Amino acid sequence: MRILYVTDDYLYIYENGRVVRKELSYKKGIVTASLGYKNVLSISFKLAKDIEEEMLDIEVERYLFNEASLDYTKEYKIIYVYQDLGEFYHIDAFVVEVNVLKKEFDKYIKIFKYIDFISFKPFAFEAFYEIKNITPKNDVFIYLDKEESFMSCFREGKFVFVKSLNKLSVLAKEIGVDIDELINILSEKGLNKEKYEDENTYFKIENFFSQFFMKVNNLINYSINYYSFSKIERIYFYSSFKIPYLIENYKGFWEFSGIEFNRYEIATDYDYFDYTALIYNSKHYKNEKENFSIFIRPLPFYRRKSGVFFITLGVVSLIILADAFIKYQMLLNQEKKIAFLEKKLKLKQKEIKLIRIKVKKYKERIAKLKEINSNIQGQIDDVYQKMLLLKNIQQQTPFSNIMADLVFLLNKYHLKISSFYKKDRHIEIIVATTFDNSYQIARFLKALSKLGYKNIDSSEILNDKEVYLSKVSYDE
Amino acid sequence: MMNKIDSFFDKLDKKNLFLLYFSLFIGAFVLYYNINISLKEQIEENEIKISKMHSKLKELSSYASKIEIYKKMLKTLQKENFALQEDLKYLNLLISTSSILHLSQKQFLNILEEILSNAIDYNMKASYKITMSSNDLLSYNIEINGEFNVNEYKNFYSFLRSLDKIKKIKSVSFVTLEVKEDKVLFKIILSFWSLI
Repeated sequence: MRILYVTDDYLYIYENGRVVRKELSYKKGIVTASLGYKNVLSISFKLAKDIEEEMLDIEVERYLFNEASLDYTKEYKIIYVYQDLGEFYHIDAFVVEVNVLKKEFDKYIKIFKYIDFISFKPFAFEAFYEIKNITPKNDVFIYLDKEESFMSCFREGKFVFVKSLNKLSVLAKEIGVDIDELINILSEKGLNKEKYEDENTYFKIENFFSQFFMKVNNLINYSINYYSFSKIERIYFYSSFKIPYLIENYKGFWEFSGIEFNRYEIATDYDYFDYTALIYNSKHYKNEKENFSIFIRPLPFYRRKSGVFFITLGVVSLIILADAFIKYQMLLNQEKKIAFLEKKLKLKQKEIKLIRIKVKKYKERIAKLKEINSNIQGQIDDVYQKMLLLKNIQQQTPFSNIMADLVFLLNKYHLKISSFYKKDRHIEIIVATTFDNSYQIARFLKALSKLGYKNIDSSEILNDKEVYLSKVSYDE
Repeated sequence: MMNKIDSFFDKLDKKNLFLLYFSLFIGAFVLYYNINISLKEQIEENEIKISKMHSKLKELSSYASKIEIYKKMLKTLQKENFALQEDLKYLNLLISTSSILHLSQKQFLNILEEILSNAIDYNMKASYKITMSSNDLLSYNIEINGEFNVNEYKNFYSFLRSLDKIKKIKSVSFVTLEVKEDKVLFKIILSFWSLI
């Protein structure tokens, strides 16, 4: 994330742990700035402990307008810090008019359009501990530039209070020079008496700083009681320009009081406070409770309540529409399919009509053919039967053979025949012989059997006056 | 405009915001339900219609396949017919070319002539009764009533042999021989067969 910090002359960029200073011009990033104590109305008051912490915002605002008489006709930006002092909350409210903010930051708004975060300068010293990597104690940071000066007090690294100090403009007026010339004098000569030709000027400067630190001392003593400090252990003095011999001259004074007195120094080529404020802003830009900015860039549409609602509405509508669209497409496809199937069915029905006619014709042809085939088969069977009959007839033993067999056997067994009867395949004969030869009848029958004749039978052998008659029947 | 909307939303407390979203979802649900149901019903109706049409098409297609069965049947019958025709042709050819299966009147008369001639040759005095029947087969029947001397039985036998030698389909359906003193009375029914 790129954090930008704007000052009157420069643009500081903090990115990936590195700080770079550039000329003031537009760059992309989180735009931050800081607001000096001079523009802020500081109001301290107490609130009863029975107020819930969540209600403090409302109560502080109510107090400021009702008790501290803020002007209802004006717009203000308010931030506050509070401390639980046992029986009550001590509130330090910092109020700034919206018009003042607009005037103060107009220059940057023209360049960046928005300022995401404006920190309060007295809070910024908190970053000092992290930058220097030193353990927080009860420390006072003194800020001095050509426009304002204040002291900001921290307990164990946590901001406690801020108080304004004497401005350099008062000293400039006393000496009778403008502020820029005074800064030149202080930068050049500092508190080195020997460098001053005019002792009077030196004394006035020396007197200013004596009163300056005296006030610091008084405020420390007051605050130790009020804010229940055990003691102040260190003082860090920051000035936007270097004042030679200032630290050296007052180090003894503060050490006498048991307080370590140091120049506010950081290992950087850039302005120490600007560097500190940049680091502080990079850590705190999301904290709305200490943001003086009224130039907040609007939340993106999707993060606003209305945006979320309209997006939800859109998504829901889209789901409904998409569902309806899909179903509508399905319907269209189905209708197409139905139309296609109807067409196919019509064709098929026409085809079926034709097929029915064909089937009818086929059936007729089949029936006719069956009849023809049956007739032919009948004819064939008939002819076959007849031929079979003829064959059987043809295969019958020739009658002359039957007769030849009979004559042969009659001669062989000395028999005579008196009648012969044959109908179809059945033969009946009457044979005759003498008493002596009668046994030959039986031999004759046996011989017939041997020749293959069947159903040979002789029911009676009659003795008619010494003539033996026998009726013999047999089949071919 | 957007500012007014934004400020409207910002002024809404949790309860009102919930009610707003709730009404949005209720409205969306009603809208979705109505559109969805009506479209769904139509889709379902169409599905049924399509499935009915498919089954009808299937039915019609199966009917179309019936013709194939008849075609096959007809083809089989045609083949069968062809084979039968061929068989019949063969039989007809066989019959038409066979000398034995047919007996014309002229041929029969020739046979009769031969029989009479043989009877004379073998001294078989007889009377002849000729009939014709045509039931399944055509048959010429000759009833021979005759006699011969007992001593001439060899002639009778030769006569019988001569009858057997006639190269036609024939049968001897009835024969009686009766010895009366020195004569033998005989009766022979002889049939000659032919296809009609």
